Amino acid sequence: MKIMLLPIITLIWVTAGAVIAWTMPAANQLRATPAAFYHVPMAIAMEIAFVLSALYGIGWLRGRRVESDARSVAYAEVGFAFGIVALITGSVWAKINWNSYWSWDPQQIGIVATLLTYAALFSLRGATEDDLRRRDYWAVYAILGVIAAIFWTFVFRHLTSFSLHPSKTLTGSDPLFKFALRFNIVGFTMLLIWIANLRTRVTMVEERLHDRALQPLQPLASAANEETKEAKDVQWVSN
Amino acid sequence: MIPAEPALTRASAAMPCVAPPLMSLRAVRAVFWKEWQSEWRTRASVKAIALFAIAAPIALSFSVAGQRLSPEVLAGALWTTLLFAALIGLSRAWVKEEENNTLALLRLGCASEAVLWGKVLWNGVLLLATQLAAVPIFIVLLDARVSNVPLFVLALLLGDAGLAIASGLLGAMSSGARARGALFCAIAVPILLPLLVSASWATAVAFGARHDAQSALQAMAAYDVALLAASWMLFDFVWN
Amino acid sequence: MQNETGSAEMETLTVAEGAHRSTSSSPASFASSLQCSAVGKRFGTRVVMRDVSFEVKSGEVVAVVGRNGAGKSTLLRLVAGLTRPTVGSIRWLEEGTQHSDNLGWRCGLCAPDAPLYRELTVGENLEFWAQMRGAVSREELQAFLERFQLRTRWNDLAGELSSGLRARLQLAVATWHRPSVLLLDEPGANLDEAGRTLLREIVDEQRVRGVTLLATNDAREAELADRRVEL
Repeated sequence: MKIMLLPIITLIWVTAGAVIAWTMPAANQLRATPAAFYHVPMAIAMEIAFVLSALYGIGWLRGRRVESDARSVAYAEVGFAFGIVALITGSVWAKINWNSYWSWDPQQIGIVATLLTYAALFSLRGATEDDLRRRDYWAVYAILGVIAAIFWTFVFRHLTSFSLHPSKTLTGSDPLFKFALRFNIVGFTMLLIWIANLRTRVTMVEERLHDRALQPLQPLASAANEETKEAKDVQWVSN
Repeated sequence: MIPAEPALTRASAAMPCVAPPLMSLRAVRAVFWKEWQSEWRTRASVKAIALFAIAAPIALSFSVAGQRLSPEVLAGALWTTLLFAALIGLSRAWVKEEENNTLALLRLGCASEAVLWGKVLWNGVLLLATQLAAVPIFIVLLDARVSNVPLFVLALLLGDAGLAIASGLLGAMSSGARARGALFCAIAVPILLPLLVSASWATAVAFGARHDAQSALQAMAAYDVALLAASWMLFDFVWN
Repeated sequence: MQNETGSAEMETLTVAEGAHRSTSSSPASFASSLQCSAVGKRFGTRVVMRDVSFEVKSGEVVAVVGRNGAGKSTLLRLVAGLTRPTVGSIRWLEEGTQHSDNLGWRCGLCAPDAPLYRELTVGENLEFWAQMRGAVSREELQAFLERFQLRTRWNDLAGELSSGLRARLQLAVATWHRPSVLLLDEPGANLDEAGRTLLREIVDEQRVRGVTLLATNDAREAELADRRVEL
């Protein structure tokens, strides 16, 4: 039952967040739209996902446990998907406010550049043949990706003097708006963790299946007996 | 310094393995010198970089047909040219190892740091050498006016440093994967974009734009240091 | 395939170490050895090898045989630490130490497709590797190349050597540093009769120094070995 708790809470929470999103007043300097309540939380959840991905990458480099790598990949993938949703909802919001889907705003450039980094990360993973080396490369590049993401998120907007994005959306708005936004940030972060957990479990089951091919061959009779036991205590030795 | 070993003859066969490869200035110099020698004999990288760095401004100058470009556009064009010229040449140092199948031997017989810094140094020198030719050509062909020469040179140097440093870690990664040359570009561009953007910003000021160049230079320096630290700490994981 | 348990060997080792520390009269009762225990390797879903276990004691020459694609080259790369096993472990137990965590620098690898810097001369190739270990003068390296009939080719580009001479240079690069573990992957493919004699000499010398793994499909080459590990 403990496992079911997170999905249930998450689903209720996100649904509630969606309901709130459709009933919200305008934000500071911006016209209201439900897209806002997907855009900002999704963008923040994406950043969280990429940081978690890099942290699990460091975990892999330290302990070389397959699960760390699986989690790192899961967070990067889900973060990437969230990033695309943030980009689309952001464009919708931009059209309503600034009358153009795309206006080369620093934040828009930043999110595209960040997504580009992670697209490169996926292509790097696809191009490496040796599983263990592939995970090393992945972890190292995920850490580099966070360095780039930090630049796009925190440094870049101070570099250029113009930006359409208001700087005090969160702190300067109506309390109700702030609440709704925060409510959705928490909701989408939970959604992120839930999906990433699912993704990790799928990967681990796959890994376990593939690793079974490496087990010593056993006589057929005893193999059938141990079939059920074996599934539980497969050891993850990777060094 | 390790004392000279006795002659490597049959008599010494029973002696233990010669000392492990260690990180030393001598080893870094050896890697650098090896790159220099093989480049000097083929001149493949220099040709590739220089050709691109010269062809791109020529193509640009045709397409703008004598119009004066704004400092921002000029700076952007300069750095896009330099970035892609660098991407063509910088991966050579690693792709060559893979082509010669020497990557495995290099892993066994060299200290990882010696390889990293040897290659980074070499790539830095390669960039500087090709830019000595390419940047003046760019300036002449596109009629750019460098109003702030020290700023311009500083931006170039900081940009080159970042390119060279990043080429170490990223080159090693792409050389261990399939489709190396193409992959190097794919993985290097996103990591180098922040540097490119800051460099264009600073260079635009050097070309006469009215912004604040200082924050761009600081961002570049900070990014260079971050890349340097990341390379230093992470290279072993990529290499071994 | 020879299966030996690694744990017993480790015990012997610690006992012998204790004996050594208490300055007991008997010398260490074991020599260095290379241990592969239950090594499995897969690339994604493609299984390259499963459950490979063997031990090679110092002084032994072992032929790694198996059909094409059985994982001979992969095994040598695993031993050199160029790629890590998915499961299992490979250890080099050095006399007097528990284990050596980095086997790579003790290895001499001679793999096919000529891992040489084609743009460098014979001398530069060898000197490059020598400089990495901070030792060995040019005269010594030249003297070393005498056996390989490469001394007169010191200033020739490695890329312009004939394939036989390249194979010799590869052998020289693999052995100049007196490796504890010599990994030869089809070493005789391009060698002439004199070259094969040289190869035999090198393998014999390696017996004094450590372990030789010889991956081959050539019956004549396999004869150099004391026993076989079949993949």
